[in-house]
Amino acid sequence: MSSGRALTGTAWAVLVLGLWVWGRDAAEVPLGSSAPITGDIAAVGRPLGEPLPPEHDPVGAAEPRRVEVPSLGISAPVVARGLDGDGAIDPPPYDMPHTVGWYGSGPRPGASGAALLVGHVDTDTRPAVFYGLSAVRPGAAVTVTRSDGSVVEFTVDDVQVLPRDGFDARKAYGPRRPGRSELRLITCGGSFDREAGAYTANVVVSAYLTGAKGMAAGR
Amino acid sequence: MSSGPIALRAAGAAVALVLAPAAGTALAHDGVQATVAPATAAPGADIDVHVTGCKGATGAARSQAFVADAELTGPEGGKKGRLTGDTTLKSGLEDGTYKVSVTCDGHDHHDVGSVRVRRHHEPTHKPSHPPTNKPSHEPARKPTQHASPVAPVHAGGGGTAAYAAPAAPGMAQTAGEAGLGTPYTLMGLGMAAVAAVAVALRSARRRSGAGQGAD
Repeated sequence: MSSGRALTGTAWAVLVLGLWVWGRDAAEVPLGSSAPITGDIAAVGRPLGEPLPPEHDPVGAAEPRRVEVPSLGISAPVVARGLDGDGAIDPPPYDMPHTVGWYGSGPRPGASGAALLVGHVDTDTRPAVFYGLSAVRPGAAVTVTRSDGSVVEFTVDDVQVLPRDGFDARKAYGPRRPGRSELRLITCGGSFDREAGAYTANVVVSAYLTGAKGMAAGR
Repeated sequence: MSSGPIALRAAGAAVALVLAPAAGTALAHDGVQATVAPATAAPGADIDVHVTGCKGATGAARSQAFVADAELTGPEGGKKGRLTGDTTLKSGLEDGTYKVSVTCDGHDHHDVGSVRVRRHHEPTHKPSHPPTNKPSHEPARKPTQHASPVAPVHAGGGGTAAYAAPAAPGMAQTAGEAGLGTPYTLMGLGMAAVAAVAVALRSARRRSGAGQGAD
């Protein structure tokens, strides 16, 4: 009765395949990831009980030229960008995927207020400069080399994933504490809506000034 | 009677379950079609939507590319009925083709039309010399009139969205729409159920001794 055995095997194969097809679609999360995809994800990475370094007073304004996040291996040139027609910071074009843009009409990194840096998470084929950004942990350092040769260092204190729906621009772009020198690193995140051709959320990393080197005298 | 016919029936039922959702989907928006005029437009442009196939006199056309739903109005008229509406494309849209869905007659008709978005219009020829006079003043409308950014950024092309994120919370890379979809969910569930029943029936027959015995 080998035909019976073959048919039994086929029935089992159909069972397993069916469960796989069903389960694959029902799950809709990547294997191994159980983290929430929106909201405050800083808590996921915060080391227990470790205090963040003290704030550094704002320093004189100078334009950013380079940004580095050593813990993520990010090191990229920075170019000034404006706003697009929707009032969102226009990132560098997709054919410059390893360049970071900064909002040129906004506060300079190191001056008081929130300096805004934007980079692509990916192009339509490959990772881009801010691909690993959402993995940054509070306490990580972000250094910005400026046009006058000075280097200002920020410490990450928050990572948020803000959905496009009901986007809170003040939370994303506004300073958290008045008078403080702050930095935002922004890219896309959430899930990718293929019909719209856009990600559903923004990843917004917030950092504040904790150090400055190579400042010209009197600054 | 051997287990063969049972398993064959199970396979046949599974095939029917595969085809049924596809047929159901086809029937769901049979006849409803949406066309957009112009078919290719720049972000921020006004567009008209024409819908045929709705039986009622009202409806709405939706798309991720639209700033807001296009309210559709028109005469009653069954299949010959033509509903029309207009809306505006969002600014800052990436180039591409966006699906248009229509709600009429009390339910949704998904993906019954599309609109193409083209941001850059290449000039057909390059000027042979630079302009001889520059404008004496800045244009009255500039995006940078905003004091500060107010909208979320568009900073990703989705090229990595099919792959697992690098241990990064907040970057769940599977998209709801990019999953296999509801018909396949039902198909998979159906196949599993049918196969499980077939196997269970077969074991029951063996135990009751009504089958042919050992394979």
